[in-house]
Amino acid sequence: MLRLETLAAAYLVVATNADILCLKDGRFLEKELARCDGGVVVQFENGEVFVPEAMILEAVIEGAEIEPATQTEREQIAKGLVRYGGRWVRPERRAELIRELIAERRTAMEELRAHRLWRNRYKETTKHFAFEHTIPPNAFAGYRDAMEAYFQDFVKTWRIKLPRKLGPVRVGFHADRESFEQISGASGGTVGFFRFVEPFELNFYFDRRDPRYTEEVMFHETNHYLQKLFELSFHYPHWPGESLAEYYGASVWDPEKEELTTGLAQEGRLAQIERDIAAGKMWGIEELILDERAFEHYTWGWSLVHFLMHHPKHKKRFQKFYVDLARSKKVERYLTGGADPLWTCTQEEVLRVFKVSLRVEKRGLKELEREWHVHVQDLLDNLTVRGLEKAAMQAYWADRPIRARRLFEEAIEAGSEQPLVHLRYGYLLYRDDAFGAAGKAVRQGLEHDPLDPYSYLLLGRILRAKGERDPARKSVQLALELDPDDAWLEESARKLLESIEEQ
Amino acid sequence: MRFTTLAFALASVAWATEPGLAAGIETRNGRHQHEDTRLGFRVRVPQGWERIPLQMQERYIVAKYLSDKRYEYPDKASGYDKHNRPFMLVIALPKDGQRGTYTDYKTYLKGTYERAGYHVADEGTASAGDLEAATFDVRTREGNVHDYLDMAPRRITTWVYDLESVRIAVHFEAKEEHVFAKIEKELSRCLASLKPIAVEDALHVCAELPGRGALAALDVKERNRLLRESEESLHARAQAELPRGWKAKRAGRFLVLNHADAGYAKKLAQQGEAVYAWLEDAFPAFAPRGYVRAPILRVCSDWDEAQAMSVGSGFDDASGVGIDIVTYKSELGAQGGSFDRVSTRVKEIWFSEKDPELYATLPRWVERGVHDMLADSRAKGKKLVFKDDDDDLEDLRESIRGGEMPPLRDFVRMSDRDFDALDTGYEQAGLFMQFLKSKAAARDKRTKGLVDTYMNHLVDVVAEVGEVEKKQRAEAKEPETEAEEDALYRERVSRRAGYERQILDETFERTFGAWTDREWRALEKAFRGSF
Repeated sequence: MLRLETLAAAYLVVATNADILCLKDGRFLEKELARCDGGVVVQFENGEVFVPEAMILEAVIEGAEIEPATQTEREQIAKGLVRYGGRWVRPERRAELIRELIAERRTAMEELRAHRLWRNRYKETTKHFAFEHTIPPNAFAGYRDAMEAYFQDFVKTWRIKLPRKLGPVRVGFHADRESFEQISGASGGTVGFFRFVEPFELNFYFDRRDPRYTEEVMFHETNHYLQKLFELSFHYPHWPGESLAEYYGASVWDPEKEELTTGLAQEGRLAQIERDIAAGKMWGIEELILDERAFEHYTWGWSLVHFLMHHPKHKKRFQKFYVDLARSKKVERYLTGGADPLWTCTQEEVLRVFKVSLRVEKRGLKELEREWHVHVQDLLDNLTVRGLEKAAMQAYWADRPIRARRLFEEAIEAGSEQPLVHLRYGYLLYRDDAFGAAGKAVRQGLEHDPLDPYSYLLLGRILRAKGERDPARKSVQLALELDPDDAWLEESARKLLESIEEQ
Repeated sequence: MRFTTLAFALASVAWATEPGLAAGIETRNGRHQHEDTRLGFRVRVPQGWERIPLQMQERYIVAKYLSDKRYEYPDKASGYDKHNRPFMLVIALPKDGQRGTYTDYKTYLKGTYERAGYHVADEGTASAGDLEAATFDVRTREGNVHDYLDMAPRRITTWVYDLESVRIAVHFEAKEEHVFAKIEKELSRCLASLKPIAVEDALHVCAELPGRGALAALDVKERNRLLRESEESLHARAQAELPRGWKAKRAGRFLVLNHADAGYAKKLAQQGEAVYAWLEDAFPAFAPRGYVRAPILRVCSDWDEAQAMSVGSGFDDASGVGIDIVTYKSELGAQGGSFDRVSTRVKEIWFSEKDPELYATLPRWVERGVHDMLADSRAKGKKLVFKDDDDDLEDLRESIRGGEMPPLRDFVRMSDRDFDALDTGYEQAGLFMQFLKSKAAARDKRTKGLVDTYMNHLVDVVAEVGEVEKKQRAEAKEPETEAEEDALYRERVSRRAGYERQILDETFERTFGAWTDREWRALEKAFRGSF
């Protein structure tokens, strides 16, 4: 990892202009910077913002100086020497080295920034994937390794014999959602896709606010490709195709241990299931399988696959069912239309094969369904922090503010570090006129992402409501400084500033 | 006619002037040039390229030209040989546009090309005489934003000039492989040719309608006044900007703008007129509602020209679907899709102008039924003649043999989702509507006027359900506990899901409530016997 000479002293160092801050999540800032204990202070026109070391990939500070902190340092300084790179050197030599280093770092950072453009994208081919990407290399390395490990794990688990001449599949990995949509042509809420006719291709993006989500989408879409490996000419019906992809979407790669864990709980999907149950709807197996394109294949369908894959008796049978759909001679398939026809089967046939494979033809699905619903309830009773976050967000968007508030509180108590969780919780408190608590929640969120413009915007709202006009104005203007290109933010800020002036 | 300042007009709707060709093609020193005296520039156009009319709702493109040559190429994606006709756009981007307008070329690209997927492969600056231009080399991921069957990537090369109060982008687009390299030199000469000239003409702004909700909330008189004003303004603009070689003629309700032979255009207008008259007669529940602006029927010389016309940055207007009908002279004559297109567009325009809210609540079997039925109709004099589509018939017969066609009693109560899941829902709807509107159905007391009865009940039910919903919303109490909130949520979800069901069931009950099993069997038999 790149790192400028560490300036760990507990004081600020005066910096000149043209400093650059590059965050691990790919954001860049060109502002006046100053080193301080545990991070960097960014000087904006409307205030100073402290950015902790943990978020920083690189900070280039022109003219940074070191102050003596120990007796040895004082003695060496007395000899006219200065410390640089673990050595004591003449000041002129050090100045020269720092100039060189800064120039080198600046070039590296400019290169990084340039690589955010698709025309300058990075290209890297591994054994099974041909990546083209615009995300920071440090972030990319983890995803690349995870993808290879995932490929191998899936092939091994499902005993897949790889088709001959299977070259690396092209993967477009975009720096953010906006560029993903623009370059890939995706629209309508698509967060990733697999092009299932040849040439196969995967596309998704890096969500800097939620890297875990990036991983979920990546594993989900890649699973569609992996499912192809059972039989290239077969296209899995919506159920079980999407549900198995969701099952594998909940996988986690541990870069330290180089270990992949698959089949975890899809906490976001659980939150959606809970919403359905609250609305009085429990899906049954038959109606779920027979529906051709139900959205619930991502939620209830996933939970059914999760139940079957975690059940000692059903797992093997389910796996056989899955492979049989693509390969067994006893399954009735038909060719889809279009320029690139593929074999597939009807949902009725899927249900028939499912009953045969799970050996419930005679008994019917009731008992299996009951076991599955118990499994769902178990999952709901054991939500993790991420599950609480997702459930809170679901409640927030479903206009259930009382429930959302409780879940946000539980998520925060359980250690949520998601800035968005604090922001939305703060907004609900603000809406209920609990301005003090709302301000506290937003400030807590800023500890996890001190450069989030929407947090400053909300803080401006809260301060305005408290009658603190000047700090409110500064907070809103700081939000605008943080992201001058966001049209929606600009519009909201303009209206808020007008209302502050009218107050 | 309203005239306005440049800054406002640039952020608004219109580019056309009064008739008198303030923007158009001309030849100087043997070269083809586009000259615009409203915006003050002149630019070279490749020799022989034809000017294409703009869409009515266009906001940024001020001129469009289509290559006179067809470049054949093998399309890798489909395996077929295809052809491409490159085109040129001249785009005007206001420097001080209102919020939400495109003020630079990259924002314009993002707003109009995103669905095709693209990236800027190179950008820089170049000199053209005394002027400096920003240059862009853009590649689309695949195909064409306006035609999804067209999979081969495109290349766009653009120079953007900064004039006094407007940026002018000269944009050329062609297939990247096989075509672009053949015309690149000629395009470069055109790109570098822009020259400022004196501004001599004023811009013309069309009367804009308020949004759909606001329009629906107005009283009928005021709404109709605005619609008439909009119609007059759109018609004036469409005629004012008509390129050389096109002819404008009023034919009944239609303003026909024609670039094909007069006889063909006349037949298309007759088709539209007959469909319009049929709708007025067939749906009396809709007929007395809002004013329907007279459609603008554009008959292009061929498919390529119609495709090029569809390129644009506009959006449908406030009524929902606009009033443009773009079609072309098909080599298949009356058998071609042009007649189907005119019929179905007239149907869309008629329903949505009459009452967009009610149109949105039409059950699928009615909406698709009318659509399918009209697509298979042809005008004979002032009347419409409905013909059976052989493929539809065969599909439906196959569905009956396989026991897959739902009984009519269930069919007319199906939700949109269930209807869409049917393999032959459209065919069944089309033939059933055709049967209900047939002479045979009119002779039977069960089916005589059945569609009218159903529609009258539907109008009443939609209004009643709306009233109940409004009252419920007004009386709803804010929940104070999570349990109360959960209960409210359950109610809200079931009400939302129940809205469609309630309308379908209640309309069914009022229309068919007294029908016996025997009557349903008789209807089924009569319907199946009709094809």
